Amino acid sequence: MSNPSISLRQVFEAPQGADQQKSSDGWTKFQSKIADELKGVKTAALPDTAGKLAELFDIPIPNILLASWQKADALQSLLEESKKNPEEIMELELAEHTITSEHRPRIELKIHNATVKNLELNMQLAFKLEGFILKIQEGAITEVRTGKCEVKGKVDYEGETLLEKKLSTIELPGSISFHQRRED
Amino acid sequence: MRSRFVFVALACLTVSMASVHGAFRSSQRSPLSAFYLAAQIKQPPVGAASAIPPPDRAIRINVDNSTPQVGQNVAITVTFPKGFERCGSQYQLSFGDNESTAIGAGLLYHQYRKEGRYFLTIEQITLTLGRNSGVFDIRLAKLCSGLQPPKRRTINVQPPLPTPTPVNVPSPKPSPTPFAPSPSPSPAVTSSLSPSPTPTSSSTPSPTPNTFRSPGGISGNSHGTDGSFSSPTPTSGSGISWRDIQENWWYLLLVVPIVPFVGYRAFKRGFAPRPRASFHPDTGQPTVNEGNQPLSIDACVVLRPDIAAGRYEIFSEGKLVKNIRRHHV
Repeated sequence: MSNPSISLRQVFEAPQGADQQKSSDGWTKFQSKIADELKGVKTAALPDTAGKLAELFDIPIPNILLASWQKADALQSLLEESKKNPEEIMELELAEHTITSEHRPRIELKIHNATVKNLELNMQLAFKLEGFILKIQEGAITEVRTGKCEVKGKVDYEGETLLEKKLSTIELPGSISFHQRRED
Repeated sequence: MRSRFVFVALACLTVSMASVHGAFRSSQRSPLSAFYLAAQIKQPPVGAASAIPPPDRAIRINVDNSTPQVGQNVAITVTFPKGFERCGSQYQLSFGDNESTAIGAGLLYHQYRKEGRYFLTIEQITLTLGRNSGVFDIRLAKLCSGLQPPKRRTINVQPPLPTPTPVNVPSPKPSPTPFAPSPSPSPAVTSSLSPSPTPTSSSTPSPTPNTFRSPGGISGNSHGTDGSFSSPTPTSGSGISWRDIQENWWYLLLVVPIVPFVGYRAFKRGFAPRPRASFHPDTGQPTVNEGNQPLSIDACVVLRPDIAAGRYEIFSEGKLVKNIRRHHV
């Protein structure tokens, strides 16, 4: 797994943990809009909607990057080659590239296992990466030396943009290690 | 939404029926109807003969001798209901011989100088409705507005006997029998000119603690007896008795349909299953945009017309991996 220190919470400036006071204006509006949507279900037991809502954004950014690289055609052939030569370590210097990601987190309200409301969000992200170096061994990406990372994104619900993050640079750790199970 | 409409409709029906009922029964004040009559406080006319005051709101006059002789002291006891002193009202007692005095609760004496028939009446001088230390008190207002002056009492003053009985100087203390000539304090029905036709059972104890509807004996004891007003009806001032419920049972018809609705709402709020929210994050489907880079330079292709056939390709795809370094462990 990757270092989960940075996630989409930071991207969308969601409050960390129970500290709801430090949330941004955009997040506060997003939170109130979601609360309005959930008000349609009367007597809903939502003691900690704000905290739970932020958990929807607990997706580590390195995991997103890793998943996208593993599916890239240019890297898959090199991963296969690395698998055949386990004693060889490959360092791949990546060109400037972009990664897009689409997520559909949802909030489900149930009464006795029957869904009474399903609130599905559409989250779109775009990363622009520059100067990243991947370390590959035994057919897996084991480490990333990061470079410049810019990200933008938005969260839509039923065609309406509830939360938006304009393109900006985020700070990633200088080196991120991935401890993946090696396939024999 | 529909259940809320039904509730509002029932409430309107209740209020309207209560209003109609109050119009028909405005002269009767029961505890059950007090909640809407409280806003219609009326000061009863002084000396009104038609309204029969409840025993706890009546001002009572006791006369020790309704047939005194000229020059004989008549002991008059005025009793006010409990809590009267908070009303701030003042009353005066007219003896019927053009003399009057301001009164409070207690005993006073009067001598008639001429024979004849005199009427004891109580008149209200001032009225302060429900003012208690500057604050309007609705309960006090109800009490004060409900004070009913007694019926005028008739005193037949007899001519002096040839041998006048020595009259003792009245002591200010209310001695039990300061006046010997009074034969007995037994009820003297004939001495009253009360217009009330129901002089019965003044001493019959009322079986109910209701102060408003004590059946029967109220009208009798206020007129037929000689001012004794010894009705032992226990007064409570407020409260709903079983008799009231029996007499006003139709109120329940208005309340009963509301009860299930209120119960339903309470059940729904307190015991109905509540939906539980579950939050599902999504790791998503990220993809590297390989080869989707825009052209970095503009290209202009000029084809020579003398070439019959040819193929020219421009690959704009950028390579994801710029450089590879390999080394062995």
